[in-house]
Amino acid sequence: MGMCGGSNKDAEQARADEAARQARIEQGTKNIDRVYSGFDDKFYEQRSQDYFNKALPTLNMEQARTKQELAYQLANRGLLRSSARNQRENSFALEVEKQRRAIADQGLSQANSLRAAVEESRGNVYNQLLASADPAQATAAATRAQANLTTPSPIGTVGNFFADWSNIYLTNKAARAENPNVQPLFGINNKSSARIV
Amino acid sequence: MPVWSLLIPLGLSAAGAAASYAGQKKSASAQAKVLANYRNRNKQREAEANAVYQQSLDKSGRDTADAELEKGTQRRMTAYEQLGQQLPTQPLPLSGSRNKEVKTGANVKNAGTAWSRLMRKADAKLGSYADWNLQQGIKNTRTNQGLDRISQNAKSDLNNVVPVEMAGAARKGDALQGWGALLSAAGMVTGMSAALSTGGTGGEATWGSSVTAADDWSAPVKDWQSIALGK
Repeated sequence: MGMCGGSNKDAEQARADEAARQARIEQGTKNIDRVYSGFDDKFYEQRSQDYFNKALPTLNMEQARTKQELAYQLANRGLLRSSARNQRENSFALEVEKQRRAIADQGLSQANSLRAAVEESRGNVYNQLLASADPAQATAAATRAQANLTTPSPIGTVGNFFADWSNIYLTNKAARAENPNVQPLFGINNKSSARIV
Repeated sequence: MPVWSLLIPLGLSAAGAAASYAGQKKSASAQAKVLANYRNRNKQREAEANAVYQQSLDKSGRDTADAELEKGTQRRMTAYEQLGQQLPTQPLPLSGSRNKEVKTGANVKNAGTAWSRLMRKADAKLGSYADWNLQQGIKNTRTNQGLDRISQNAKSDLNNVVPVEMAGAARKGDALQGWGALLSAAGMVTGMSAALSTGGTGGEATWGSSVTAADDWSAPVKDWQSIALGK
């Protein structure tokens, strides 16, 4: 009978241990959720905004500079009042709009990447919790991960937004230098008196 | 030899065998109960897992996709609009020296506006698929985490609790089996004792000369020996 009593105690202890383990994981999950609750939509929106704040002034500056160059080119050719100017200006306006959308997309994409990184970090911490069943360790890991994620990440060089647009004309200019039969784009490099009107 | 000296060992042995059988049956029953309890706990876990899975499945369909795509499109359109407002357009001069006639920013901005509006909508819609995809990925990851936890609980239960319970259940019949062994041994000893004692006096009764037929206790043994020898 003594042996049976011992076995019952062992079984009770095993059940109690398992219940305690599950309770620890439950508690650890709550801790992780609490630590990661700061990563809300507002946080990710701010990440997009941070990119906008970085990229927009650059775009604005490059837009002004490119537009100045365009104005000089047009003035140099006497095309400030011409259909060529309208075509060129429209083309540039579309390019500016395209670059704005690209900045918006890039900002949102970076926010999405950050969201994925946060989720991955959260998953790793959660897996550590499952393996260790140690809420304190999981909370510490979650806090460390959170600190890493909230540290500003380096943003690559932003700029050169109108390189492609400008290159189209540079390429055309180079092509015309090699072969005079190549048609000029919007008459910018046309030195004849004929103007596109 | 009295009948009871024959019946007592037989009774004890039978009782011992019965007790052993009962003990084994009790152990088997207890083990079956442990497994049944484990299955019941697993059924609860299956229900819990099914709820987690169902919740995920409910958010995997076309309705959710349409809603998420619309939400993502609006989010991107808002960003496009916001950036469009933040960038003042600078009009080109109309002449190199006398720059009195200046096109308004609004006019320049309107250049290609219709096309831009179309492109904004198209870009926003295309980008929204990435948003939806990310949301689905996060949802699935969290569902997997929930299912992993339930699965882990089942494994831990099976590895840490059930073996201990099974060991305990296997010992449930130990007491009865112990009594059974004791009774069987008692029956054996009693039987042997009876046989020995009967064999010693019976031999004398058969071949010896000092025991008379008047001995009360030797007569039945003699009868038992006769039965055993087929006499």
